Amino acid sequence: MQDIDNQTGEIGRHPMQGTVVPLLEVRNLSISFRTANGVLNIVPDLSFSVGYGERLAVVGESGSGKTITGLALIGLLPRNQAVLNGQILFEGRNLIGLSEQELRAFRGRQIGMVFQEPMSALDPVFTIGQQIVETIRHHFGISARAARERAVEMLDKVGIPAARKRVDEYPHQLSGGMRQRAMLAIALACEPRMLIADEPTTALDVTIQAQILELMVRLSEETRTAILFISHDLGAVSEVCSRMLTMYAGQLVEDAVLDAVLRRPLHPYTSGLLRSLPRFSRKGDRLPSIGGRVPPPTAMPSGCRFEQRCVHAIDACRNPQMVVTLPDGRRVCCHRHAELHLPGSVD
Amino acid sequence: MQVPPLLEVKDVSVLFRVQGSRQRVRAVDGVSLAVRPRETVGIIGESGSGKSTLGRIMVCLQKPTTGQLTHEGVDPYRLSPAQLCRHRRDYQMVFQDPNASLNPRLPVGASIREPLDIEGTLPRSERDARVLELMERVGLHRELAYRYPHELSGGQKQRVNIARALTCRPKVIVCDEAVAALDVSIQADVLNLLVELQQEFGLTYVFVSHDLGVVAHVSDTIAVMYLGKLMELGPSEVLMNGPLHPYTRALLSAEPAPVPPSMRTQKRIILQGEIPSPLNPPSGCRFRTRCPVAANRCATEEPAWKQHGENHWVACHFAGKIQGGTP
Repeated sequence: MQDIDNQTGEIGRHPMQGTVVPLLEVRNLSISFRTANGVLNIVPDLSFSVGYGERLAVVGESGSGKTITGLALIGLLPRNQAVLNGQILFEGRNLIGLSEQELRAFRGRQIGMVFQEPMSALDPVFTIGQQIVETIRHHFGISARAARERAVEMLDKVGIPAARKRVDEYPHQLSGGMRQRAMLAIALACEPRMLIADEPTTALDVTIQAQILELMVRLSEETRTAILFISHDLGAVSEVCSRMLTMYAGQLVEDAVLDAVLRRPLHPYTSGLLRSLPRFSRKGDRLPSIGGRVPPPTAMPSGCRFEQRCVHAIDACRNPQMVVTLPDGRRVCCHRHAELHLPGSVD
Repeated sequence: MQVPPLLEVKDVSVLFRVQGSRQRVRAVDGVSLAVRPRETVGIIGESGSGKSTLGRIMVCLQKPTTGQLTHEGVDPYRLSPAQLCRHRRDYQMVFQDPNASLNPRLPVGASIREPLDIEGTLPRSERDARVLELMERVGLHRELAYRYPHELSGGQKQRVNIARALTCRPKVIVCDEAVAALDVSIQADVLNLLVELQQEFGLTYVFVSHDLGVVAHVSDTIAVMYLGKLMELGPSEVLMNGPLHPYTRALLSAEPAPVPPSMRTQKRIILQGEIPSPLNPPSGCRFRTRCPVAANRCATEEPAWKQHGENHWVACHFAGKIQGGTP
């Protein structure tokens, strides 16, 4: 790895997590799409930050805007349709407004991404090795031979047995778990400072999922790579992350340290998600479900977006809500958070 | 005296031809399992364990190569084609992918009515009335009957699939990963619905899933499969609280739990490697290549299917002798 560092003149990693400047800071991000029926706002106003080496979870149902947010961070939303406003500051540099060329140098090098379905994220007509080599050479411009060595090294690092042989295999020759390892190898080959993992283990068996989650934690700790873990699986998230953002209908509803939010969530939606998991009930008991669905972006209520599904809703919830920051740094978007005592995933 | 089983498989095996090869793969290998009326049996295992094939055998969608399937003591494959056609109505299935299992060109109401159309005993108006009644029962608005599958959400589509399975008033429904594609909150709604319907219509379920939480929530009995064979079978509570097979223990331990890091007490057992190819299963115990407690004996001698307590069966040489992961 030394030669790559020399060629790009990479300086050492940022000293410590918890320094004043976060690795990534999203300020008042708004994401809209141009559609046939006018501009549709999907994410109205989102702010959060990720520290160096931090593992942050983003959870929520389908339609909560978590995947869109992940794609926006890495500049993968279609330029002719998506309208981004606000700031995405990566080490102080705003990613919104960068040209495609600037983004190409940045994407993969500073922020890597792993997608849910490795079979559709990998190119079926190139070998795993070719796909890693392509990424490495794009960012570091080293010789093909050195890049290939690096590819073998990466496959070995992500736990693919017989890496030197597997490097010449095509994606269809690998199992689901191995493909996801290969995806991780591609994403981490350029030593990004941050990895966005969008539902990386949803398509995998629970035993393989456990292996991949453990691998992600280990690699993140070894290389101090921050992880933004997008998932609807609260269990998987708890295994990997130290902090959790809950999103609902495009808005942030809660941002808290994992331990605190699992014990005592402050937002009724977070509590509902945690309680609807089957593991807390006995056979025959009704699962406490949330009921209803995420409202479509065309018919968003002007007040609290969760109001229609919330059992704690009162008249005042129809007024617009603000994200408030509590003294301990937690953030929540519910004006009743102080009076409600909501159950978490542990009693 | 126990209630006689409603559905029983005895020593069933399924062999599939491998394309371009003379080799055959044994997807299910000598499985015996009985399902009593109004009971829910969960089948868990990794991909490639044969759990879906076993589910399909139970509803006559897959004919076993050897072994026997009986529905209330009757072997469905001995019935005449006309009798079998009528017989099948009592054994329905709900599939995993709500998109793939509905005809995109049919309004969902028509999809639900189709089994009744084929049955052909009721006049059209009664069939329509039955469809609307069922839709309301599964929590779908009647207006949705004229919508096409792409206009519905995943949860709604899965409700349509459940309604369609119910049209012929079946005795048994096999749910093959029926809630796997749904969000947790929607999944909870659908699971609640399935439990209600079971009580109301006296249904018997076979729940095929890789999600232990889901299986444990709905099942009375759980069967654990690995590479086509049963590893452990027992009452849900016994299996969840005192699993005897190392594979069951590993599955339970691998299930990620939303527990604060400060409250974790047990070290997780993370299985190494992946499920071996069923074309060339390991000798002796099939799980031995990934088993944390495997010994020499496991490679040479296949563990017997032995009883360990009431209705609790295990196939492991070390069942009951393992303490904290080591024999």
